[in-house]
Amino acid sequence: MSFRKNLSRPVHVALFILAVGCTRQTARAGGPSDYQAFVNKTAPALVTVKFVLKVQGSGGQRDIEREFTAVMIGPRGMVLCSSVQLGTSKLMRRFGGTATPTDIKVLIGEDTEGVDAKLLASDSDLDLSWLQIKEPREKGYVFVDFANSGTVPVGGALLTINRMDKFFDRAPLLNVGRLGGKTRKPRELLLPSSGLDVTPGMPIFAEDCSTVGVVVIQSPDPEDTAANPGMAGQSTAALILPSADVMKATKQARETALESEEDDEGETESAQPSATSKPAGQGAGDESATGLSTPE
Amino acid sequence: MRPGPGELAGGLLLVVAAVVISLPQTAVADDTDKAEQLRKDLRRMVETARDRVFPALVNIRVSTIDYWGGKEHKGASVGSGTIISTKGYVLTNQHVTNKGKKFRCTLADKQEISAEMVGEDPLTDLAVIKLDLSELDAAKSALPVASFGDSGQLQVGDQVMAMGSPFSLSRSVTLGIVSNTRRVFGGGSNGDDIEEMELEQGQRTGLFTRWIQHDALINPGNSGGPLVNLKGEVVGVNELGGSGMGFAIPSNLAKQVAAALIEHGEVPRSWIGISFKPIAKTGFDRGVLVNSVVAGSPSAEAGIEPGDLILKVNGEPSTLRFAEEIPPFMQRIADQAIGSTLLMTYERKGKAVETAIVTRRLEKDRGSETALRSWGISVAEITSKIAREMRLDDCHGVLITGIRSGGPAQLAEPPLRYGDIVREMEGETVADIAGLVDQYKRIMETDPLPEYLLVQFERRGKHEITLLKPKPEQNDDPPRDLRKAWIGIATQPILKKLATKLGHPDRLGFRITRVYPHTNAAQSDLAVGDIIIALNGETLRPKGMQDAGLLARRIRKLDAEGEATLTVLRQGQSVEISLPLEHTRYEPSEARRDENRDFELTVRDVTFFDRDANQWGEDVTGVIVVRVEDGGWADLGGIRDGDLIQKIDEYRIRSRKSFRRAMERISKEQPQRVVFKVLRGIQTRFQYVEPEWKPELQLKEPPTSQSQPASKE
Repeated sequence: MSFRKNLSRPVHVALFILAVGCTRQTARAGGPSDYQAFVNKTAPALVTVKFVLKVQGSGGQRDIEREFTAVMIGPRGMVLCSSVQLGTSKLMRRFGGTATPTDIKVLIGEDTEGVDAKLLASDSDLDLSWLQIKEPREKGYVFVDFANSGTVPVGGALLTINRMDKFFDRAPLLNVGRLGGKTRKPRELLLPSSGLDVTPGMPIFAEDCSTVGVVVIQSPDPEDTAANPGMAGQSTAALILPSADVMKATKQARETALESEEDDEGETESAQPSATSKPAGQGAGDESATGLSTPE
Repeated sequence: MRPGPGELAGGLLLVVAAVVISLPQTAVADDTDKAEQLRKDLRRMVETARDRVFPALVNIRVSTIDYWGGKEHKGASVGSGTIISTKGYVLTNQHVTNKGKKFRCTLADKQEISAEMVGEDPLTDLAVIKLDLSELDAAKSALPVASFGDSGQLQVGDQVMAMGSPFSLSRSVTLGIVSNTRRVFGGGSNGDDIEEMELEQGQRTGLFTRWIQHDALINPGNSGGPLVNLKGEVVGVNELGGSGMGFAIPSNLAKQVAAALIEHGEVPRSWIGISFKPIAKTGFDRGVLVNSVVAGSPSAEAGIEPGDLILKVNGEPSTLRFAEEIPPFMQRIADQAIGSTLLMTYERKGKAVETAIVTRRLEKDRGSETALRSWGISVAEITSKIAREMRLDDCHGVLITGIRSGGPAQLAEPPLRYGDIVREMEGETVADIAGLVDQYKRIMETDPLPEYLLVQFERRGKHEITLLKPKPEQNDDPPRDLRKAWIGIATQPILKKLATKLGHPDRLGFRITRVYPHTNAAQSDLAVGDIIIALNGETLRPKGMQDAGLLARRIRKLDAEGEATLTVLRQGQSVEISLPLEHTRYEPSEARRDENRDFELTVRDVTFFDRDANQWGEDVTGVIVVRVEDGGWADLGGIRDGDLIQKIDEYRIRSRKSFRRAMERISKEQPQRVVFKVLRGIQTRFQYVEPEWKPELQLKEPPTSQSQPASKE
């Protein structure tokens, strides 16, 4: 049963006010007190993802328990994270095995138990994965809204927020840095200066609290490294994927999630040209396609 | 200067030659005749001896189940054995049969029949299994039997033969001489103690053994095979080997143990709880030193203390000077009736004291083991030895011997660990392993499962509690990547120098090296050799080999529902080719999987790239094996990772769905033999799998569906 059916429309509307962010006016005022307000508003959207990674390779199977910080991006429990963190990156698969995240739980706020979640989709090119809480709570969740995006010039200030590990009660940690540059290869990416915390999957904000993008791990594609095997290690970096690309990929992830619910019954994959998939329509389980709200 | 080894050997050869040359001609002829006669005699003796034992030689294949890491692990091992009775009893090593659940024996006439366990004695590393004589071919002659010789008669230098299956090469014989008849392995800095040997962790062996050391070559697989004298008698059971040396358990000991195993299923032995030290380096001139005394043992209760000097046992003087004298002394004590009284005279501070020791049964070192998969733990019985070594008050509870990483026990807070003792489960005392298994079955059969189980456990003297969330192990499908736009071609970048050589220095791009069949690209006008210089009007200019993926990346950014226009350089002319884009194809690592728990194998769908790599046409169907559990039915039947299963019995396999359906039918029919037709590389193979439909494990998981899809579909 689709979890979408569990929510009534009034609740849906009420959820919108939960989106995090400070108003541009507030941010322009600057000063430490505003940073504290930013932390207070943003930190609740940072969740902990706990899961067991089943790694299957020539040496057999190994289960590894892991956890990392990710970001809630929708009021109904959609979570964005780094594929590298989740173990679903192509890099893992290059070694011939498979890595499957299982028993995924999302811990929100002070919660220590977590709620069950499933993997909706992964995009290894972008280093993004989307999780969905299986039974989202009715009152919704605080989330980071990538629709409220801004731009920053090279040299401009960037803010990021992360959480310490569980020993430190996952205390939120603000980090301030600068945009160091931009690149168009392998895609349009922003280059953080060396001082900025670049934990994969963490959102990056401008000083006005608008979202700039998400930290992703980028490395050359297999075709690139085929003739330069050493390049994969040398040219791997944590960079910022702009918000617009995050939004676009999130939309595709939602559509894919709907498609996979009607997945095949395991017939051998035909070598015939594949029929192109039809657009899945609106709202694949979390927000409607236009459901990302404007922050308060 | 000392001669080198080669020079020395050469010198020896010369000496022999000189002696031969200097002999009178008649003497030479006599000696030649004698040598020839000796050779013939030896050959005849070897043949006779061989023929007396060889027919009774057995190759044993063992299917094992071991428990560690919170799971059971199947495996297979191979050893040798000897038929010692017309009733079908086969003597072998315990380390061959250890953890064995199924035994298949190949006789000298190549008949293969099954056998069952009669008894094991890890302390001597001996075991007896019994052939299922009902499987014997009645038309063939009676079961051949080998007879024991007297190992006490063996002398250093005697010729002996080792028979067995080295490296699984069945029915092999090697010849050598006895190098030592009373070999023990010394331990301690002075080498004056006997080294305590272990078969596996916590399991002592060789307590009563003085091995026959010989140089008849033995290798892994010879274990359990007979050491034979030239009279064709079994004088030993080969157990250890290496660096050209072999060590066999003397037949006199083996015969006694085998008889006990056949009669009782075990070897009942007395125990008094003392370890001894020979007196050679102690300064004493009589007796044997008490090295240690087990607290609470019969000896401790009788007042014996470490440092006492045992002078007499049951009135017989007991002076043990050397380590070689310890094993028979230990055996003498063990051979006493359990519960009998030993009168021991010992000396303490120069004063002789007499005491009576009432013996107790020598208990096994290791007990039952199993895995409770849904809790993610493997557990073992707490034997007296384990309790002593872990300094536990008693044998109550169950020892955790392994935790499945990522399993419920590891995820518990606090997590359970190796070495913890489970004392209580859900408020019920855990008396022993059987009790815990009962609880496990009861709990796992409840519907719904309790969310958490309260576990009380002991860790280094601390009594802690934790919550364990029971969860059956399941294998999910690997995640799939978002599908993007794709054109079914492979390319290489054309860089500046190559472009210049090709005569168009300014036209960089990507040369098509392959057009994948059955793709939109194959149906378009694209051809190998075309150089793509622009995509949708945007020029492509790779700067170096690091840009090899540039074109594919650009394509992936397009809308997969749309079209692409490629500007192609063909024979110096620019041509525009439009074609509909496709979605990226799933990689093998993204293919959906199915696990079959009966046959213990996992298969996956065939992907586009499998077809391409193997050049399989559309008519080639099946599922690809991605995992075969060691020692499972599929493994024992020779199914291997990478096999394409095309047919199972009469069922043609086209997909996971038909695979699942076939396996469900086979599970209902329960045939003796299942034939898998597989494609391995370029060859088809027929693999005959013989399932054991009866439950193999006494301590089994709650029933699950026979064939489990890896995911909900």
